[in-house]
Amino acid sequence: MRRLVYYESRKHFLTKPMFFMVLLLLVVNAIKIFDVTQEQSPFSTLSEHYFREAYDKLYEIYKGELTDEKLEDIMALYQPLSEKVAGNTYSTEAEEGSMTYNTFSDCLFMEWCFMKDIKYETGYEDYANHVVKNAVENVSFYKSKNNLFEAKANYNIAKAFYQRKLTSFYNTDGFRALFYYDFSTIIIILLCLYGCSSVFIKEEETEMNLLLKTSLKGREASFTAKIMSCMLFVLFICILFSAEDYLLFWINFGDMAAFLEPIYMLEGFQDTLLNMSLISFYVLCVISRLIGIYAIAFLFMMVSLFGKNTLSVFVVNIASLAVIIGIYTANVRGLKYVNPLSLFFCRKLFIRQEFINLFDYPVCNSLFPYIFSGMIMIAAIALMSRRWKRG
Amino acid sequence: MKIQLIDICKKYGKQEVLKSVSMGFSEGVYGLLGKNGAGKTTLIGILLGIIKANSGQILIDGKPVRSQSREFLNKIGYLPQYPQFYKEMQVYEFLGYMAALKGLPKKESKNKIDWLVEEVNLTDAKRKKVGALSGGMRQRLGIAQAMLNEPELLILDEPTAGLDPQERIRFRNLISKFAKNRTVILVTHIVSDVEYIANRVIIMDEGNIACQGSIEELEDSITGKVWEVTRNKEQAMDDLDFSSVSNLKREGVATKVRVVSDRLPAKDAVVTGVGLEDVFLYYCKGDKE
Repeated sequence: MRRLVYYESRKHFLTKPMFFMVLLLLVVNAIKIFDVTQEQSPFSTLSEHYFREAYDKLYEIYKGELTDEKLEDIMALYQPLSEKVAGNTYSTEAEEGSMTYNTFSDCLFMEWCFMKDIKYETGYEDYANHVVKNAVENVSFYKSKNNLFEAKANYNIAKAFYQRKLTSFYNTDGFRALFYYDFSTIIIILLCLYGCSSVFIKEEETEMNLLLKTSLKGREASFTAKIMSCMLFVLFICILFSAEDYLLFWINFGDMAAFLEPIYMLEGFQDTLLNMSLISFYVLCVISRLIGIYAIAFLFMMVSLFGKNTLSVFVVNIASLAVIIGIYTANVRGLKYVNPLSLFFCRKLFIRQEFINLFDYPVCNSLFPYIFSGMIMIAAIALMSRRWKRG
Repeated sequence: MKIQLIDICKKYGKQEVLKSVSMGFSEGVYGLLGKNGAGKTTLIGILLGIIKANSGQILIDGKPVRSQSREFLNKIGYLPQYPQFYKEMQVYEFLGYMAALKGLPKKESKNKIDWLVEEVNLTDAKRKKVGALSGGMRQRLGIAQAMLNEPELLILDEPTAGLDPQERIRFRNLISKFAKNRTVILVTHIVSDVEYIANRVIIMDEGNIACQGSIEELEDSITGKVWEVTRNKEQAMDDLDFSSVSNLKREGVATKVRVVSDRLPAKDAVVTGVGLEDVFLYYCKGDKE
């Protein structure tokens, strides 16, 4: 089987055009990441160069565990600046001894780069406790009303938020940009479209289907090898582009030290039910993207098996993709959860989760795209297998 | 290996492509001749299990064969009509893939590929891409892949179609070489291919077997029915039925016309020797009154 998988990969994916296409798209992705970094980094423009130097100095001191000492220290630095700005007693001229340019810019710098995040982090424990308190009250209330679903849902919320707190300070701009970056997903879909569209139709066009059907391993084994080679290809490009994304955001933002901090350290993720680290969440994003792409790649392969020629397969696949995108972007809430495309934008699934009542059992809505994508894959394999056997 | 096809029928809609065809094969080279659309490829498709027959039975050594059984697939080698193969694969690589498809162990397949590449005279081209091969080279590659599992039954569908005369001769020699100790079915409408290498010939016409036997038997069956008419340039040929003419040959100012007919085709016609082409014309188109 290993040999067959190798030869199937060689036929469809390990080709020169594919190699150059992947290489070209890696470069395009790198350029796009650089562009995104320029857009999102607070220190990207030349005028903010001084900010960068000052930031690096202070960040080295305050990053890591937020001790009382560090907090007092940073407040001692920020408070006078803040008071001066609030009292309009600051200078607009360049000042000697200023971290950036003058008191006003120092204050702004402290606000943007430190105080905003520190305030969020120090205030998060209270926020989480508040959520837990409300959820616990809701549990009692719904139990008294005999509403088991709501009671269980609130219990899950209380459990997820219990003892949550943020004890460290790190720059999370790189992770934020990484989680909101979708361009590489488009590239992966394009590569899948290019690679997977020809998997079955090529046999028809080269008239190799006759030889396959009269060879010992040309039927079931060959079919399995085709599916496996496709899955390996999708896995490879998904890991390749995900690794490129991570590495380039790391290099461009210069710091991904927060990787072991919880996902809710990122503002916007304060309501997520996930209790995992930033790096684990990235792995979850990669796996989710992989599952979504598998579902779509299997659809592409299915069209390839039922199609008449490469061009028609390509056209039908593009049309199918347009329909999937259309359904996703249509403002019909339920449809999003049955669409594999939802898995490409993992953050949207987990920023705010809801529970759906399934026989009084609360099921998280973010699970549905995984279930439906799995169903699409199984159905596609079953249909393809049937068609392949019938020849 | 003894193969028997018994009462094979195949219909495509209302069109009957095979009409209760029965035939048998054992060791040797068989030429399956017929015009385009005679039902040859369909019959082979049924034998290979690619096409399902509407009725009939296939026996291998007296036992009914499930065409796709492991045992049967191990015994066959097949070269389809106009194979394209994978243009971007190298010759050696393609044979490696075919060996994997035929379930040959890696080590064994390497030795076999080396031997076959040499046998079919593709050693210099083994690193060439399949897309860069000439028609003849591609057919030789086709026969090499069919021989990888040392099949007991080798089926070659129109193997010389599109080849130049030199390549055709080379290909015939190759088939003769590989034919020893196995059953080879050569499906074609090119009579000369069969004439040189086949021991037995089966001629199909419109879904039926028109005739079968050794070349000598078939030629004997129409002895006295092949005529030669010699006409000068100015002599009219209107009296001849051109659908029965198997050959026209110019000799100086004269034209020698070869006619296959049960009756005397012209007053000046003389009986001449029979060739397989005449047999083919007689049974597929000839005057059979």
